[in-house]
Order: sequence, then C-alpha cells, then structure tokens
Amino acid sequence: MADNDHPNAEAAPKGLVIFNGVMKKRRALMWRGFGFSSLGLGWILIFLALPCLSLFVVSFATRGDYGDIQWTFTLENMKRLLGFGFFGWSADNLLIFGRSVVVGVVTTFLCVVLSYPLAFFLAMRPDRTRTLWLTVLLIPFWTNLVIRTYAWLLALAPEMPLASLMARFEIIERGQALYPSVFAVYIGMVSVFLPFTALPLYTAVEKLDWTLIEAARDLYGKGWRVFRHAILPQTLPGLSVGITLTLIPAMGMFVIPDMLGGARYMLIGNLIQQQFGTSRDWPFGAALSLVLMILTLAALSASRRRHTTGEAHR
Amino acid sequence: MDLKAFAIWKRYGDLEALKCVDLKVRAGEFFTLLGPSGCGKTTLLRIIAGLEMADSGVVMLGGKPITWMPANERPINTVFQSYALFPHLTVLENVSFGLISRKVAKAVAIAKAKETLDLVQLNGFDDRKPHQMSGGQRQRVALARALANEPELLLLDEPMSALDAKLRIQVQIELRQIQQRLGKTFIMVTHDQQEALTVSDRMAVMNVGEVAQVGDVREVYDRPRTRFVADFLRTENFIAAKRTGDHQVATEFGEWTVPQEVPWEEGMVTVRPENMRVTQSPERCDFKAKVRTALYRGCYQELLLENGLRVETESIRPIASGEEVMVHVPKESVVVLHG
Amino acid sequence: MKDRAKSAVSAISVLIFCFLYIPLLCVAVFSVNASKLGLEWGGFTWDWYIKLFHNEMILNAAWNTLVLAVVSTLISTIVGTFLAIGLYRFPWGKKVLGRLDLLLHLPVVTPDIIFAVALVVAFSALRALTGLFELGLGSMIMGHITFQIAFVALVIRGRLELIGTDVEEAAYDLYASHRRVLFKVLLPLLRPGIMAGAMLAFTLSLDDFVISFFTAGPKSTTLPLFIYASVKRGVTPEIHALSTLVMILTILLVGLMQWITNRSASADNSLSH
Repeated sequence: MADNDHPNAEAAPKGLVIFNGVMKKRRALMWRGFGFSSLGLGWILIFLALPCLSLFVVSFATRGDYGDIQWTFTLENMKRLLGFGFFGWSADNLLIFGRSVVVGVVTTFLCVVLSYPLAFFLAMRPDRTRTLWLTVLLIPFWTNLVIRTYAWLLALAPEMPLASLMARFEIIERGQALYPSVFAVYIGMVSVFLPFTALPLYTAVEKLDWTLIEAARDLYGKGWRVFRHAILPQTLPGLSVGITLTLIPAMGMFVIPDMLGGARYMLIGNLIQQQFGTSRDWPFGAALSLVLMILTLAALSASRRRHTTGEAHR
Repeated sequence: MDLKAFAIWKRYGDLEALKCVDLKVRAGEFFTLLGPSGCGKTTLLRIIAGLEMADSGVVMLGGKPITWMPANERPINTVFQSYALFPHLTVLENVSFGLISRKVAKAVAIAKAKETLDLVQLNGFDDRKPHQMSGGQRQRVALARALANEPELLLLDEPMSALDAKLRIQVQIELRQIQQRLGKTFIMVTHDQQEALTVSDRMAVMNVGEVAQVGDVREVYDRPRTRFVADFLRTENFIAAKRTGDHQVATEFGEWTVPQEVPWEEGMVTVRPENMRVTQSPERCDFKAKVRTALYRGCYQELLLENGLRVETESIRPIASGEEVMVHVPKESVVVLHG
Repeated sequence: MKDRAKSAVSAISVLIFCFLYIPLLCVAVFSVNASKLGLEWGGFTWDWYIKLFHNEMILNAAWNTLVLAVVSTLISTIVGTFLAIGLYRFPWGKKVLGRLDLLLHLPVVTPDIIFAVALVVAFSALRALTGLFELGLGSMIMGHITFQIAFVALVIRGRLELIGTDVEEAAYDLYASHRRVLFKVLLPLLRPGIMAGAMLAFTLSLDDFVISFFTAGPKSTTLPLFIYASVKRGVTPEIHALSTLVMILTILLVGLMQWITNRSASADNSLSH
C-alpha cells in the first residue's frame, strides 16, 4: 500500500490463542479442557493406572498370616516366580508361564487361519446382506464369556454327538466327556477369540485392492505366493490389530482353562486368580500380574513394530 | 463500516502465511481478496472474523481496534466455504441462531429471520433441515444466517465454490444486488477472477502472503502492476522492452509510445490478447506473424502466433493455421509492468 | 476370485459359523428339554423358564445385573462424553495429549485379570483410607465405569472428528456463548455418538465376567456370576433357560446396536456435503 500510516505493529498478548473459534488465554482454555476431562481421567488414574503401578510395590511385600500385606520388602516373590518355593525348586510356575504364552500364540494362530476365509466370505457378501452376516458374527462376540464356555461344556458332554463320535473311533472311552482336556481348552479359546481376529481382518479385506491381486495372479500363478505378495501386505494393518486383540486377552484368560481345562491345565490367569481368591497371597499375585503385564507389553510393542513396518510396505 | 488491517503477520511453523499485510476496505463496498490457493487470503479473512489469531498487527473496524476481540463479540458474520450449517436445526432455527444468541426476543428474531429468508428468496423452507435442500439452497441459508444479524461487515469465504457454473453466475448477480440494496461492507475470498470482477467494487490480488495489488476492479484488470498480477488475470502476452524515453519503449516489434511513465531501463510490457487487432491496412500493422494454431471459440477466435503471442479477434473472417496476419497493437492498451 | 476358491471360502465359513453357534444351540435346546437329569431328550417343556421366574436368587441376580449395567452406563456415558470433549476440543500440546491419550487407552489394552486385580487393590487401599468401598454392587459399578469410560470416550472421539470444527466456529461467529455452543450445537451433534457409546457401555457391562467376579461382594451376585457358580456346583436345567434368555437379550442388543449405527451412518450424509 502506498501510505504507511499504520500504528506500531502490535504483538499478540502473551498466551492468547484462538482455538475452535474461542479467543482466550491458552492457560484458561486448558483449565476448561481439564474441567471437562478431569473426572474421567481421574477415574482411570485412581482405579486403574495407579493401582497397576502399585502392583509393582506390592509384589515386593510379604503375605501376613491372615492374608494381609506385610510391608517388609523382600525378593521372596520374585524367587517364587522362578520356582524357588518352600520345598525347593520346581518348574511348575515357569511351566505355567510358558503354557500361557503357548496357548496364547497357538490360539491366535488358529484364529488367524480361520479368520481369513471368514473375512473374505463377509467381504464378498452383497451390501444388502453383509450387515446381517456381520451381526451373525457379532452375536457370539457379545455373548457372555461364561455362557459360551458353559455351552461348550454341554456340547462336549458325554453321549453328545461329538463325544459319541470320538468314542466310536476309540479316541476316548464311551461315556466320557471331552473335557477337561487341552483339546477342550483350545476349542473354547478359539471360539471365544475368533471374532476378535476376524472383525479387524474383515475391515482390512473389505478395503483390498483387487487389481493388485489380479496382477499378482498373473505374476505368481496362484495359491500361497499370491497370498504372500498381494493379500498379506495389504491386510497387515488389520491383521496386526486382530492379533493384538486376540493374543493379549488369550494369555491372561482364566475362565476357559478353569472350566474346560481342569486343575492340571493352569494358565497364569488361574494362578493370579488363586492368589487373590483362595490363597489370599496378594504380594505373590501382584508379582504374577507383573509377569502378565510384561508379556502384554511385549505383545503390544511387537504389534506396533509390525504395524509400522506394514505401513512402510505400502 | 470500514475495515483496516495493518501489518498483519501470521506464521504456521516455518510457513509465512501473511507477511506484513495492510488492507483498507471502505464502508459499504464489495471488496474481494483474489489469489491462488495458498496465498493467505483465507487466513486473512479468518483473522478478520476472529477465527484465527494474527501473530502481530492491528485490525480496526469503524475506527475501533478489534484485534483482541473474540469472534462471538465482533459485529462481523461469515459465510463459510462449507456453509457450516447446523445439520440438526431447521432453516428457520439456523437463520435465527445468531439473533437468539444475542438475546433478541424470540418473536422478533423469527420475524427477522423470515424477512432475511425473503431477501434471499427462500420462503417456504422454514422447517426443512439442511440435508433436505440442494447445494444452491443451502448456500442461500448460509447467506441468510449471516445477514439476519445485520453485521457491520459480512465475510464470504469462497461462497460459490460448491455450486455448478450456471448457478454460480446467477448467484453472483444476486449477491451483488443484495449488497447494493443493503449498502453493507462485504469482503469475499475467491480464486476465480471472473467472479471477483463481476461482484466487487475493489479487489486485492494476493501472492504468497503479500498483497500484490489493490484497487478498483477495472483498474487492476486494465493496469496490472506486476507480472504476477497480470499473469493471474490472464493477460499472458509479455514483451521484453527497453526504455528510450519517459513514455517510450523499444520492443522487438518497434518503438512504442506507452500511456504510463516507464520506471526502469529494461523490463516488461504487456498487452491483453483481446486488445490486439488483426488488421488489413499495412500502415497500422505493428508486426506480421504466422499463425501456429487458430482456435475457434464461438464469439471470438484465438490465434497462437509463432512469436509466442496470443491474439483474440472477432470470428467473422475465419483465419486458418499457417496463415500470416498483420497485427495492430493499440498503444493506449499497453501496460508497463513494475516487476 | 475363482469360483472354486469362492465355494471353498463359503464352505469353511459356514463350518465356522456352525462351530460358533452349535454350542449355543445346545444350551437353547436343553432349556426346553423335559428330562431333568442326563442329556437324553425327554420331550418339550417350558417348565424351566417358569421355575426360573420363581427362583428368588436368580431374580435377585437379574436385578443386580440390570442395576449394574444401567447405573454404570449412565455415569460412564456422561463422564466419557465430557472426557472426549475435554481431550479433543482444547489446545493441549501434542506431547500432553499423547500422554493423556495413553491413559485413555489403558483400560482398552489392559487384560481383564490385571484390570480386576488393580481394582481389588484400589478398593482395599481406599477402604483402608476411608473405611468405605466395601466390595459389593457399588464397587462393581465403579469397576465397570472404569472400562466403560474409555470405550465411550473413544466412540465420541470418532464422532468429534466426523463433525469437524467449522460448525462450532460458525456458532461462535454467530455470537453464541460457550454454554450455547456446548448445549445447542456440540452435544446435539454428538447425540448419535453418545447413543452408540451408551449402547457399547451397556453391552460391555452385560458381557463382563472377570471384573465382576473379582469385585463382587457376598450379596451382589449377577447373572454371569450365578451361572459360573452353578456350573461349579452342578448344572440344573434352569441354568439352560437362564443362559438362553441372556443370549436372546444379547441378540436384541446387538441388533439394536447395528440398527443405530446404520441409521446414524445414513444421517451423517448430511454432515459431509
């Protein structure tokens, strides 16, 4: 402009911001935001975050005679985790940890294998019926865990078709149930966690670029290589969400092994439940919870890494 | 009311969106901020509206500083590019929203809202929801919602970008009529030069955070100051020139007497394609050139010459590609560019 | 896809659906089986359902379940909605928001059993401090709210992103006060999200077993706890009937949830132009 009669350029007052149409001091706005969120954040902090952190402290305490917590700090619980008990060393605890990981991983693997055809099946439904099929998958997902586990108890009972069939092939004796057994645990786990894997995978499959698959078919022929080069990279984000959603709760599961596995097939969840239930040994329970937390964090960070490499692929 | 903005700076991280921008908009005029996307025109509009904070600078409305006044206290209303209508409210509730915010009695607010809906020719739609209306109708609701408050200043952010070409021309005319009827100050942002020329009294052409030129639409169109402005207003014929006198330049097509004073030793002059004439008389001929491509455009024909210039001429006598033509450049239409 | 692959996928999927539904069907079938002991078919009967409604303990458990779900849903929906608005509509720094986001996601990623243990520890610490917080329906409600808040807030966050900020800016441009923007613009626009969040919270509460199991008191048995205890004691056909009723309720809820999401999805076309 030709004339330069403007007043001295005035700097914005310190801390004043405009956010979403509101002009206010940033500090005042943040206090308002804090007012909105404080109850919810405080709730999660008090009932979950702080207690989780306190488990770390409790795990170094000792159990009093009446199941109370004695604040004498020892490494006793850590030793017990590794199997050094009153009666010398036993592999029991380590076995249970290992078993929890194996059950988690195998369950996740089975769920992934079954989820791929299921996800493609859902994605191929015409728009009209797709919501219906999704609802059909969601219903077991939302049915109470106890009811679903108990339903397997019924389905695997003696004289039911499945048990009779097994008895005919002399895999089990006549009149015997298929539980408690490892087999029953896996059946229960897979049926409970399948929707957790299948739903995220379905959202990835729904967005698939089919032209890439056609191109891969031209390049590689068919079968495994098409899957490996065209389908897997595209569905990796959904797959990694599905794996996380399955693996983490599967490792900590205690209802299914409790009802279908019997006393001899314990997982870490059952052990924790015992400490907070009948044994009333909270410090050891806290130590066990720490182990599960570490396993969870390991699974989470692995999936995050996988997720980022998956992004880089595209 | 008149609006003045002085020395407005705005940075987003490393990006300087506005670099010491000055702007003066007179009371009662239709003013347009014209520029390519990313030139800072919308940022400037949002700073005036109070939806964005300038890093420094002063905004004055009717002589009073409003720089640190929140958006909901400024007597300014905005027509948003997305319209930003309230989807859960009816048309009438949308239009009376601002009045009710200001504690106007409900009956008065509704009467005023209906009156404004009349003004934008939208009667009978009171109880519709925005999603039950066409794009053009929604645009009118957005306009009515802003106008119902009788703002001292109305801001329009690309108000016609979502409309199709035919509707756009009609809305331009109506917008101009409404502004003249109300006599309010309007500031519009657009990247469409045709739209700017049609509706506004004055305009500012902006280029990466700076105002390149400001003035009467006619003046800016006919006398662009810089190559950027000329280019953005589609002048296109740029001719290198040397100064030979106060009003004299030498170009590759000969010595020309130009209407403006020549401020440089070496620089550019420009002539709009529609101002050049294809002529039959050799004495008026400034240069001869072969036509590389001739395009028929209906009411005119466009000639792309081998020397790189572009001429628009009436289409009565068809000219073919490869033909040689004589071109006359009316000297009063030559514009001396300052940079 | 080739036809052969297509039919293979369909066949496997049908088998999977059978795998998911057959056990549930078994429960439903046995709930109308007249034979009391053993698993053979003894004819059709509604007896177990009738007995169900005369069983004081079951009615009590059903009532507890309902109170737990309704109260926790009401509180968590309100708290979670404001939590989401507070986090995503205010100028938190990127770093601070990242931390708060992590805290918000904590209830979603924590395994049930650790969640439950943490609650037990929290309640006992609070009990030591205040003398309140005895385990019972109250503690269960508080426990459920803890995970519901996070899910509600995440649903609301999605909705906040969808409605964008220019509608709020327009409201401020039209002289609205903060109150008016909140109550006349933001909350009405969030309504489908609030409904969906509440449905999710309610379903999560009904679905939960582990957290209830740890935080329940002697008098606050809910239906899942009752069923679990009965399985340990030995199942009666009434449990089949009860489970079937809970399953039917679940089907209705899931259907309702799908219906709401579908409806709000079509209504959202009005938000995006």
